[in-house]
Amino acid sequence: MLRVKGLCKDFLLYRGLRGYLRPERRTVLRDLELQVSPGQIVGIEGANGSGKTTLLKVIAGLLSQTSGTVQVTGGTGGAGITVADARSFYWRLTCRANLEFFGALTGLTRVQLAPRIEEVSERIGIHGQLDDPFMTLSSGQMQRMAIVRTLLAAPRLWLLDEATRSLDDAGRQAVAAELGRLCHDGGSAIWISHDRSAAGIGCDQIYLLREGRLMLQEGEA
Amino acid sequence: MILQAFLRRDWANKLSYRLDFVWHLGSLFFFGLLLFFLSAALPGFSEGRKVDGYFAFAIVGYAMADAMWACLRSFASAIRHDQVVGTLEAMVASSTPLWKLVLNSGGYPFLYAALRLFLMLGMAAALGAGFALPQVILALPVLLLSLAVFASLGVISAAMILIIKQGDPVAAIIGAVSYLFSGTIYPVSALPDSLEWVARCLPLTYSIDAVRGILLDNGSLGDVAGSITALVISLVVCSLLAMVSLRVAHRMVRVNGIQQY
Repeated sequence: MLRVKGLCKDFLLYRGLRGYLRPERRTVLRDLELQVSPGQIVGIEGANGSGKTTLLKVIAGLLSQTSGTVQVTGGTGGAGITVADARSFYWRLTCRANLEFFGALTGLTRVQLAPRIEEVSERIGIHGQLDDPFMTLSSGQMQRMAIVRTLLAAPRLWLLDEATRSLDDAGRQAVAAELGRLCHDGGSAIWISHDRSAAGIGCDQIYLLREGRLMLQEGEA
Repeated sequence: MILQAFLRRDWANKLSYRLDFVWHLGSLFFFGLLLFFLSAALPGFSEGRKVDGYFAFAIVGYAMADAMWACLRSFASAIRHDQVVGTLEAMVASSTPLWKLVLNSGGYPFLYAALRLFLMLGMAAALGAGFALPQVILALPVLLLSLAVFASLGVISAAMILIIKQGDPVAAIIGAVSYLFSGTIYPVSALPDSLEWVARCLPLTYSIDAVRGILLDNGSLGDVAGSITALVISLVVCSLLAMVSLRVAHRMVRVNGIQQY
């Protein structure tokens, strides 16, 4: 379960020499409240630059909040994030070597990892490319790799940032199936998009993020 | 487990650029030969050691300086690469603490620096530098202690890179000042008296002193106890600084983001 209370996020901009002494503050998220219950998928839509990715990165712990609290509770496994830019792999290594590396960082041993990589990559439809160098993949396949990487850690809360942007229909269906599986097991997800894809993925609630504030669009409050 | 994963990743990555790997190691031999021929032009060089001559003197200094530079630069460049490519953010997203990532990403550079150091000393012995293998083995604790000091300097450099991205002043200043003042290819006594104190502030000076004391004077660890003590103090100070700088870096990158250009 995720509970976000009074979340504010400012970025510090350093412009010129004076800026280093007194950096300019740019507020991206303002007094934001959000609750995601187990089994729930929440969609967040918003225009480019509205703060969607910032919100996910704060929830994932990649960015610190300026004020407010973020709590991910319930069960083992924390938040796992999948971003649209799926190029963040080692391009000269094989897909398997990449997944073994990132999987090891989640605390899985090699013995645990090997079958997990096989199983998850099979479900996401990238199994056939596991022994190919990452650089030979298409952008859609790279996106699938990013999804597999996140799912290796079996997150309780899956944060998807435009995660199906490069995927074909089969890929989208695989992601939808994974979301269904996660929610069935008591996990939850936040689906972020700049378009209206949240409704298509079956989100329980859809919010609009505008000028750093969340507004409920669809679903139960 | 995490260290193994980093070592496997870096080894596989290096092997995918075989020519670069071979050339990088091969460059050592060119520098070794350069010093060898230079020593022929300086036949009168003597420091009054048991193993005398410019080649033995300079190759030890250069090998230690090269190991320091390898540690100093490679920690930071590994982190910088991951920062630009975006893999650092993906690693941090795995919930592994940033300090663990930085330390483990230094695993391969540390081993590589050690390999270069031993290859260089081995080559020096083969080219007739005059020191014997048992002395190299005796110097092992000093070599490892020195590498640990250099690695902690490398961590400080990596922490700095996390914050300022490019133009790391730690590596640039420590590297340049150490090469200049630590008696790498000329004795510290060649410096003006007013500058010798700079040499005494640099860990590399004590590394070189200790290794030369063992290899070129056939000394024991006890004979170089003063330099070893200075290295241990350096290790404690640099490790503390490394921990503090990593904490500061972690706090700062979480304000504006890890993946930045």
